[in-house]
Amino acid sequence: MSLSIGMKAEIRSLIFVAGETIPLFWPMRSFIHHNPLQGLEKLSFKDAIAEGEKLFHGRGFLHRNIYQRYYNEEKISHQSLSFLVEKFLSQHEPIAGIDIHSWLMALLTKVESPLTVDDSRCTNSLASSNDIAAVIRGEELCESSQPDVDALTQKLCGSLLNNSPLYERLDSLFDTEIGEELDELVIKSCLNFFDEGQSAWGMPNRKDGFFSAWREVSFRNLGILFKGRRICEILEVSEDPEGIIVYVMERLNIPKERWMSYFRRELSVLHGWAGFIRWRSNARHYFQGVQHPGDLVDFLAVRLTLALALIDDRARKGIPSNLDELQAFVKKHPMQACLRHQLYGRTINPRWAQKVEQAILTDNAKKIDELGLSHMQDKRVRDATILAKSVSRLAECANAEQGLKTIPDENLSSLLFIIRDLEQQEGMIWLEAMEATAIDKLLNAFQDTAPVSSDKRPFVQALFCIDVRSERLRRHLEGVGDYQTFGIAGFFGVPVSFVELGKGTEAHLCPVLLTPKNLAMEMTVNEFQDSVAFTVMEKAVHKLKETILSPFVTVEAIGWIFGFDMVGKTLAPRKYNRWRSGLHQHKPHTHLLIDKLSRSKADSIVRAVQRAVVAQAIELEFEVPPERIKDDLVRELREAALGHDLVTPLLLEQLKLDNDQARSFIKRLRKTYHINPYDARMQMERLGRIGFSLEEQVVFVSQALHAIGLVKNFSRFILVVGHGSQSENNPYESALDCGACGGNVGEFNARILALMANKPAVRQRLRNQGVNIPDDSWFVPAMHNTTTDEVELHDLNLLPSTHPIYLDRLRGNLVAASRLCAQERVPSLDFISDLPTADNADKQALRNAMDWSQVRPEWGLSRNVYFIIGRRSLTKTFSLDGRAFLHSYDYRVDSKLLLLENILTGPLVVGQWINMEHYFSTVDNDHYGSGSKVYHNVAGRFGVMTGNLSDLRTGLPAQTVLADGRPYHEPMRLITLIEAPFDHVVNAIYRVSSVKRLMHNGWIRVLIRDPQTGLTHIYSNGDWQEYHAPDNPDMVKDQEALAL
Amino acid sequence: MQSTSLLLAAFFLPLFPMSIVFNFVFQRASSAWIRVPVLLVWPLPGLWLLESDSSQIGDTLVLWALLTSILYSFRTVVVKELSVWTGFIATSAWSLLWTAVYLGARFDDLMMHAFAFSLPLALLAILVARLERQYESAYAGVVTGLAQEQPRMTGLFVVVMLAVIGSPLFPSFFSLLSNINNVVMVMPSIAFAIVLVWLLWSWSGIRLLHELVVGDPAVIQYEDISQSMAMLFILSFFLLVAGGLYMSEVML
Repeated sequence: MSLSIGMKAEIRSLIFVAGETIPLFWPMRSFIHHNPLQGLEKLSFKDAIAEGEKLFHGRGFLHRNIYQRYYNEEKISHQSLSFLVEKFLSQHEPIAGIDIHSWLMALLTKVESPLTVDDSRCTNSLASSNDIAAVIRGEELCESSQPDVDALTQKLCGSLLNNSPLYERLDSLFDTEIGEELDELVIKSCLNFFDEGQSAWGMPNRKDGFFSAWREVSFRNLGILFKGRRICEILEVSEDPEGIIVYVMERLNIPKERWMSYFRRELSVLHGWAGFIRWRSNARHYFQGVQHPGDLVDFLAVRLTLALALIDDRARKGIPSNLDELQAFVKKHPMQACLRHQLYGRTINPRWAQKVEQAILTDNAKKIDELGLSHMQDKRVRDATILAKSVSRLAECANAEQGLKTIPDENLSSLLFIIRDLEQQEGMIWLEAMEATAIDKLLNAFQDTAPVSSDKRPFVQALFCIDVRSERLRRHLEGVGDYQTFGIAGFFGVPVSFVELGKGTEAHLCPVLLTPKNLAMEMTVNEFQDSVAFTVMEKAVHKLKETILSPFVTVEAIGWIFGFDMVGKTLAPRKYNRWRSGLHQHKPHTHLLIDKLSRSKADSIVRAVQRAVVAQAIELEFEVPPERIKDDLVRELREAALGHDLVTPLLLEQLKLDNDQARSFIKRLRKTYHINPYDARMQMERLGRIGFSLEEQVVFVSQALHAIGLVKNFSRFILVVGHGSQSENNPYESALDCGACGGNVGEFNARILALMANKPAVRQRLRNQGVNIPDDSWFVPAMHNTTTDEVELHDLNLLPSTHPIYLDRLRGNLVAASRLCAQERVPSLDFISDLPTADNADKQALRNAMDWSQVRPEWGLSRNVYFIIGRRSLTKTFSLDGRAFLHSYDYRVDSKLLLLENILTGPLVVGQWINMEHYFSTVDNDHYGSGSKVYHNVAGRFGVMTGNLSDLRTGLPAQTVLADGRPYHEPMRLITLIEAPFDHVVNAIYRVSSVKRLMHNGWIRVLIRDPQTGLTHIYSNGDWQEYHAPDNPDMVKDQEALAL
Repeated sequence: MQSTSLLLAAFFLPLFPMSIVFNFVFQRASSAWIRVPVLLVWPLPGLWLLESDSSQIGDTLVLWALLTSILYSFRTVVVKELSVWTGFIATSAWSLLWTAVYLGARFDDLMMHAFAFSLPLALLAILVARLERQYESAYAGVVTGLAQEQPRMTGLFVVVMLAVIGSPLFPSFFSLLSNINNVVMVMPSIAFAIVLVWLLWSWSGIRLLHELVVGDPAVIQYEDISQSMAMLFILSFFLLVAGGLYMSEVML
């Protein structure tokens, strides 16, 4: 089948649009928190949740009993809940003689399970309100008339013949289990192709692309041929993925207008893999993606081919093989289809399962119809009884048992309608009530007094990442001495691509929303050897484990070494790891190359590299010893290869080549060794990326200082504190690192900013802008280890001679703050030993970081709920319990709104991603999270799967958001509070379309605290309203955790 | 041996099609109080009848017994209703007793073989009856997620199922092993048939466990089995293992 270019383009665009709802999945080496429903952010939060339920089968809210627990613990106030129920009731007519508000409050707060809303295990209720009323009054149910077969068929066709893939419908009617088998085959195919070095043997022809490579292998892949015998016939149809897709869709008789929704459903089944492929195909800098290309069109072609092969295989047993045949079956046998749907959809009452199965096997139409009717009648009675019982219990909880027995049928019907409506909306009601309570508590805790400005120069000023884990350390640091702290996104406003010492690839150290233009490199003056003996041995052992035959021998020969390792890591992780780290070579002191190269310098580097390559080429090709390769010869060859000089007398003379051989060698130099004008230009271009010009450095430093309002009164020490985490045996390690640094540690960004800010030329220019950094102020980079709470200072060798005298005091205070931080944080973690005491909390934290069996080295960003943009004085006097992103901002230095726009565009959006990732991983960890870490296996070195084969697990593991199976993270939308004049903030928000959309669609809650008027405004129901927090006399502000 | 006796024996150590009667009776009996005695007692008359004169059992009868056993074990692979599955496994297991009789096992040993199969099945019947009381049926796949809902019950279920399908240390394992051991050198085809039956039991048993234990739990939550009851079951597991070890001494 050959398709026109137009048709191919149409298929590609359909798949592109269909794939937009699939959340991107970044490789886990740099875990990026993101909203699993990011593709649906154009919808309102509520609608997106409903759409997410359809696409990903994920719940959008917690179960009622968990909200009830929050209610009982006063994390949801009665007042907020009652207000929202009242608001809900305003949409309905009152029912005479019934205090419906009490009924609904009783329903929400006292009844654990929903009364009416169907979940995945229930089918639609067949009981009418008259039936329920009859059961409540203790009357017999009247005989039901015959069911309307036409209505039944229509209903069934509606539910069966929607946009779900054909095999799903076949599975639910014929128990064919195609879906399960198909997923298995697709996952195996993806694992084979996308592997990044985990497998000993790679799939052949991967450079040709996913579909082509897979197609080639499938012709002789017994595993696939065995299950879908007709796959070769299908693959013969076309060599292009688009051609195959069209063929399959036509064979399945799917109407063309439904193709896009069909594609969307297909992509959402394995949305982890689809998200990874979608990300990969768009990541131009991703080496593996360039080497082994594959996109969603390939993925869909593979999936549809396998699906058709499996359907064809089953069709040999007489089941429908396309949509038309399926429709015909349902229309011909509506009752049988209904019973099959319930039996194989696992929704039938267990009592009927065996009878229905036997009847279906006999294939006796009359018997099936009779059984269907009896089953429906039984279901009607059963549904009525269950619902009547539930309503009676609800009446009891609402103290209205007497009224229920005398309630007229029409009133009962209205009551049931309202209950059903409430239960459909209750998730939003609970969520809004919970958020309102959290907002009240925050606003009650704020100091009403205006911030006190002091001209006294603090001992230290410290810039921390806005990360919620910095809040604790900042609070304790401020508590132990004369410290002033600021919050700024952890890349410190410097987006940079970075090449670390000993690594050959660039890492983007900035939020994924940005693409860095500049490249920085880490260099050392010491000779850096990557492999000392122990490291080499370690690598060799890993290689032995990964090949096919050697593990058998390896276990026998050196298995005991692993035993030694195991005992050490398990019984004494701290001591053992300390000893073991001594065996590895330590990283030497390094310098960062951050200054731009001049053109002449870059040119000189390119020339030097070219000369070295030419010399190597001569040595390799003609086996000439290095000492005999003269500079003149190399220069002559280089010039010839670059086309500058075509005469090569030295080449002919010294290497004894004839003209043809010389020409051929020069040709090879150009092609194989890349000594040609084009590559030279490319090298110059790449070198041009290295470093920052002086102007850029000034801009970055100025922007960072202005963004946090630090433009005067600089201290002697200005710490620039990046953060990272430390854990063992943890594929999710980068999820605990700095999100603003693209899931990497923040050390290098801190070092880069400090280097820039310490440069006299930069300071001189800043002085011209009115930012006067005194000569005795020194920016010191530091690293906050969030797992151990330790803070380590860097680049102290660059410290001016006037500063070391103060270092002891600084270090002492940092250690004190770290210990206090550990004492506050560590008790919430699980430990093998007893609960930690004040004395050993830091040691326990350290053990936790080194324990390879620890599935929860720290809680990470769990329990995040607030994003506060404003001066530190606003939140300084009370604890936020590590739950708030704190971004410093002083509106007085931002008259043009540019700084606020930057904060909204970058940090706030990243904060919202983090918040939503935690939200959805908590409310439905199975679908939006990644389940328990205990069952995880690393897949292809870029993701994890549950067990040996599953979709790539996206989201956060259960151990990050749940404690003992219950939510530890309290799922709420990000409550964003901005301290600035009302008009100032509103104007800024309306200039940032992405944030405006998030706010309008209810993905974040936005509050403005106007310091000029003292009023708080909240964006709610599409409009700004003044917000008045209820007074809470029980609230103790100072140093009390906001135990929300 | 009288043909009447043989016919009666084929009724109690069920051979197809007489096995239909046993399975009909077993499925009609919904209470554990009936099912447990039926499982324990049903094969005994058959053994007495055969024991009186085992010489009359010819190759054809053994072949018939093996075919019955394979047929029922094969059927267990697709059955999801646990009470039906229990009956089919009992039929399949008791048919294998014909082989033991054919090989000249002593009456005491035959009794041990019979109880090695029946005792775990009786325990299973108790658990199945409990499930039926709660869910009105024990249809695996429709009743799912037992592990989340009733962890104690699930634990017992798993162990009982392992005992039924002839896992090591349980008596059924040693019974099957001794049968295979006795016949493998002289009539390898019989040994092969027994291994096939054993494989099918394991396959169907694990499949049922998978359907029953994992998955989403039921909407209505039921109470887990009591601790005292669980302790009784654990005690009986120990007794079964002890019995198994004794059989290994006596028969292997």
